[in-house]
Amino acid sequence: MNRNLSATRILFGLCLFGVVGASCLVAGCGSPSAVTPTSTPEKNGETAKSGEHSCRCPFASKKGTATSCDTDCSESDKPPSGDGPKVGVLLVSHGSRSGGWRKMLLDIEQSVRGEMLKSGRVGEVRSAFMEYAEPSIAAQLKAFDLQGYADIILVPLLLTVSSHSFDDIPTIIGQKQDRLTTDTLRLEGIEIYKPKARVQIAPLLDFPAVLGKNVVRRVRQLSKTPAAEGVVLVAYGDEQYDEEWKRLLKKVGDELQGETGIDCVEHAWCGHIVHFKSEPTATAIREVLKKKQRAIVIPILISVDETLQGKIIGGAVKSIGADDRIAYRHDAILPDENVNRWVVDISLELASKVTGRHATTKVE
Amino acid sequence: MRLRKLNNVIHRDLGYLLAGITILYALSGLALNHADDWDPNFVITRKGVQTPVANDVADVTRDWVLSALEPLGERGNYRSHDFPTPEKVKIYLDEGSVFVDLKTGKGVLESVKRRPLFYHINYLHISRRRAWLLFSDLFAVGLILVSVTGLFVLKGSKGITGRGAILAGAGIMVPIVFILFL
Repeated sequence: MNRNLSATRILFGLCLFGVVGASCLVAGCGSPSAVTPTSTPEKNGETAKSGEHSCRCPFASKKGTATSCDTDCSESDKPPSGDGPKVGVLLVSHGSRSGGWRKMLLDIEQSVRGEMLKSGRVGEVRSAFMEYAEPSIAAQLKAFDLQGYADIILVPLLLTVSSHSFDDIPTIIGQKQDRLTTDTLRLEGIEIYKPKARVQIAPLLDFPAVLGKNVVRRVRQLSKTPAAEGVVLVAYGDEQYDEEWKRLLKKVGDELQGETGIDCVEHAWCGHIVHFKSEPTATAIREVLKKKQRAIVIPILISVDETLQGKIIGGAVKSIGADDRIAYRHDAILPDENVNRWVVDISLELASKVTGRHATTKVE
Repeated sequence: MRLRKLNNVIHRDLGYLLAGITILYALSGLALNHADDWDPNFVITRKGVQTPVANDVADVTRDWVLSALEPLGERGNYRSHDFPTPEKVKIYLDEGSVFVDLKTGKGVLESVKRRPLFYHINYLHISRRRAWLLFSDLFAVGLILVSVTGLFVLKGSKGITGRGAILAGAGIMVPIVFILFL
């Protein structure tokens, strides 16, 4: 009896350990879960399980999202019609749990939709998020398939080359089969879906041009006396493409210097590469403050995310404790008319090529 | 008396039933808690390599890639290659990749393997599959039952009216202290 009870106690102890550990894990709390995307439904490379919201449109995916269905139901979920072939445009961004972040990206779709549809070359414009948010890329590709599109132009709204642009997106749409990427996407619950339509991935945003103007404008808004100021550019960063990211920021810094006369520009990463820590940003700010009277901190991030602009960059600014010497606004690259313009231009350019290709094929 | 016997039976049998999954969940929790210090899902090894230099991306054909892989002993593992930038090539292998700067020929051979056991239990741990979520919910309810019944296994000074109360109270205090002071 005593032995039984002892065994029971051991098990009890184990289970108590389990209660603290496992119930936390089941609920998805704790730091690892904070960076482990679990918001997207589990799909695991299987077909047709994306999205959780029902859609009332006959031509749309039965499980499309509120964004893709409810708002544009009557128009967008009809098959393409009119003269000649039309292509679908899918605007893809990284994704975030932040509602504000998503809204900024969805606003791009609203801004560019009219002009694209009016061109007669594009039949539909949709937005998708790679992770953390719906609609997913797979869900939107399925919606295009259901609408009968033969060609889709995927426009990545990403700053510069990264594992997301080079490996993740092509793997998600079935164009690459890198095992590490596939396994990682599976772990992150990101569905892989190879659409029936041909997908052409647009080049990354022409950021040296667009970004340069954007940063100059934002720095000018915060600048008082350029000669006494330095700038800290804070970007997400990417371990594998560190050189390319540094080069991009160098170009932006050079343009900034040419346009504003500010000759002290530092940069810092705030993303996964630095484990989402504030310290690298704080270090860069301190470097500027050693040389200049005032530091202007500019997030080189597409949209506003409470964690990145708030906790990480904002936390770095706060940790220095010299509010009068630091100018920082929780802003982002968006909204920017030049980005919208670029999205329209690249989409229509590629759409022309696609529709031209079809025309050539017909003549032949 | 009969109630306590029922309590103990539930505690014992549910404990047996949930012991394995509790240990797996706890192991996975430990692994994921320290994701910043190690990769809980993959065993990744990297080593620097030297390949021939290529002045033009156009020179980097399949044959060029295969010959570059030959001295690395990876020719047989070649799957495909692609260019992330005009100066770099990424060669995909069966279990890993080689990332090469074409101008210098310097590269990194990355070998990737799923971490035995952990990859799969971590996958289950964060899985959002409906069936697994249902099981997880049942598991969580089971753990609550095991814990509650555990409080009443013994009576007397070592039970919940004695030492058990002190230990159970201490256990509850831990998260409260964290919430209030940390």
